[in-house]
Amino acid sequence: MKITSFLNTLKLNETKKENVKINSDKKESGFDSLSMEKTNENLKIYKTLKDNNVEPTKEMIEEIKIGFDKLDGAFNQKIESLDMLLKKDIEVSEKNFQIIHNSLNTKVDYNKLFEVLSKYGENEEINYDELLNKLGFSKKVISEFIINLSKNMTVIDNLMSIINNDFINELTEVDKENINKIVDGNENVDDKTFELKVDEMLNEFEKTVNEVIDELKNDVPIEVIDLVNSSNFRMFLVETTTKEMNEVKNEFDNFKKENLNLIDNTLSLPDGNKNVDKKINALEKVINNFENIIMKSDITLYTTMKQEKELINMTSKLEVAKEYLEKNDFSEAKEVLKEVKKELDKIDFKPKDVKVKAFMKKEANKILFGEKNNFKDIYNTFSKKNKGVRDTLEVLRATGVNHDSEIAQKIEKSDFNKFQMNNLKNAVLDIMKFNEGKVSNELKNTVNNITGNQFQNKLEVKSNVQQMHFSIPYELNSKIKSLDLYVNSKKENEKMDWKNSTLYFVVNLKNYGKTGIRISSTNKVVNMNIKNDSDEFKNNSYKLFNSFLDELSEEGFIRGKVTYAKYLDENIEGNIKKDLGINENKNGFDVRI
Amino acid sequence: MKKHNIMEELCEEYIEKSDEHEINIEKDSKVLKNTLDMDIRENIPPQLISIVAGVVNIIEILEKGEE
Repeated sequence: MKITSFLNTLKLNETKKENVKINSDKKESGFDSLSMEKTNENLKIYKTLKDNNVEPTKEMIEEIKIGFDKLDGAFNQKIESLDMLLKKDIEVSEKNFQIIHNSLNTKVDYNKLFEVLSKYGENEEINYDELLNKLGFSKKVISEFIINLSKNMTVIDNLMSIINNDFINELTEVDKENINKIVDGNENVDDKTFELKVDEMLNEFEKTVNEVIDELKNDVPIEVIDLVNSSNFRMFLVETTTKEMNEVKNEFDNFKKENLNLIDNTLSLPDGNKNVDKKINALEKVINNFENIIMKSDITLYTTMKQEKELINMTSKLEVAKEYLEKNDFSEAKEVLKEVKKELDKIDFKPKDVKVKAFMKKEANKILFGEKNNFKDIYNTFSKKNKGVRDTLEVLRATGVNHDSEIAQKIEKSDFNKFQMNNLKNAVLDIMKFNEGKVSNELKNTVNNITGNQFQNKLEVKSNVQQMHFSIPYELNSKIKSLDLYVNSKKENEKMDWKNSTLYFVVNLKNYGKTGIRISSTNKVVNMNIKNDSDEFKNNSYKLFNSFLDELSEEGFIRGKVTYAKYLDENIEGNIKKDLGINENKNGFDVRI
Repeated sequence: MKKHNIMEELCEEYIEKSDEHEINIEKDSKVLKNTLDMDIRENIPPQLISIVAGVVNIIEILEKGEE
């Protein structure tokens, strides 16, 4: 708790010393004035505080050292944790210190975590209440069915016993009809209108619903197959999917209409200095709308990768038009805007089959098993192949790094409808909530680790540079591996500037060993420098990285070069470190910002 | 100091509301306030996510040993 008292001192000092310029020549004399022993540790703490614009006192340094004693690991790692807290403007409390320190020095073991999550979700019981309700049965049938469950009856026997019972008069006509359909295996049904309706609706999604039902037959207990196979269940899936796709299509049509109008308005405003700001403001709104559609709406959950790329390319072009306007180059801006208008006009929402199927299966699982098996969706998100932008964003969200901010935004808007947070932080917190007192420390540490990742990616308000670190999970041979990503970017309107950023990926590949991929975008020109020591690596990856550069140029980047180097080439490594502010540690090429 | 207190008060409100609606959120307001301005959907533009997607796809291909 001593560190917490240090925190108050720190914050006060920070305010007082806000304008203090640090003169490196005076550092030593500053330290001398503290009358402290000139140990390596004291000097390093002193320097870390100074580097982060905090004027150190003897008391602060002493308290930080007490805090350090409570952390595991080497002294330099603790300094790194202190540096990160200060850089991110996070209070140096004991708890925050622990959180950031653990997340900097330990990784979430995704495989172990999924093992634990599946253990807690092991008792997968069918949610009959919800299922029968969705199949159109009355409360009477549902309650009798659930009573009969304890008698170990099959679904068919259960329904037969309900229809043959004394209370048959209490059943609705729909109940009787539904029971007959399931008992008779959906044959000999007289209601032609109903069947026609099913036929009509199935037309669009017939193949998809059949595939989903076939897969579900393998996932559900044998006694439920008759219910899953019923025409009512199929119709429920088709209806839900049709509704969702119609809503998304409407959303897309409205987006198109609104932004075509905004672009038209911008084009119709007379050129000249008087209207520049108006034009720029309108364009910023359009850019923001495009980014929201790509990153937040349901639309890109279903679009093809081609459409997703087209939307990104249009966003980049809009930024180019904005740059022309800022330079008062109206004719060039107009040309670009006309191009975007033409492209936007042409694009239509058409959901991708495989994404429609994923939605349908998710809805089916929700009805069958309830919301508690979300971890399976998370696993599927990680293991999906050939990911697009939205898929990748969903992977990052599924790790839990966005959890609290999204919840807070929902609470702000009192938006509690359609509320489903599929991420690891939520899944673990759920288990902790329902198993209070019986949860392993491992799970508690996982939550802290995810929170630490959230800390590491906190926006650096005071700096013009934004640094982030992500651990990106992907699946290989039914195991989850992860790729480390360090991003260093200029900041533009509280957002990373894609035109001026450096991304560094570090991964240990099964076939090729340690690999570092540095991708820099400087004024949109993208260069890649790939470091690996394996002889075959260059041959086997050259085409892939080059085609990737070509693809990026379809999204607004300018094509640069792909170069290769040895992983341990000290010059290149040194340059990269200099670029990204990487500290070398005992693991060789582990990178930290 | 004032800024921090206002944020903590806001976070306490979030915690209260999340309890009412049985939603999971970080329960320590001093921790929560440091996780709120982190929204990758807002802070990272799609162009950068596109680079990440491309690299992950290449990594997966190389891992499988395909060219």
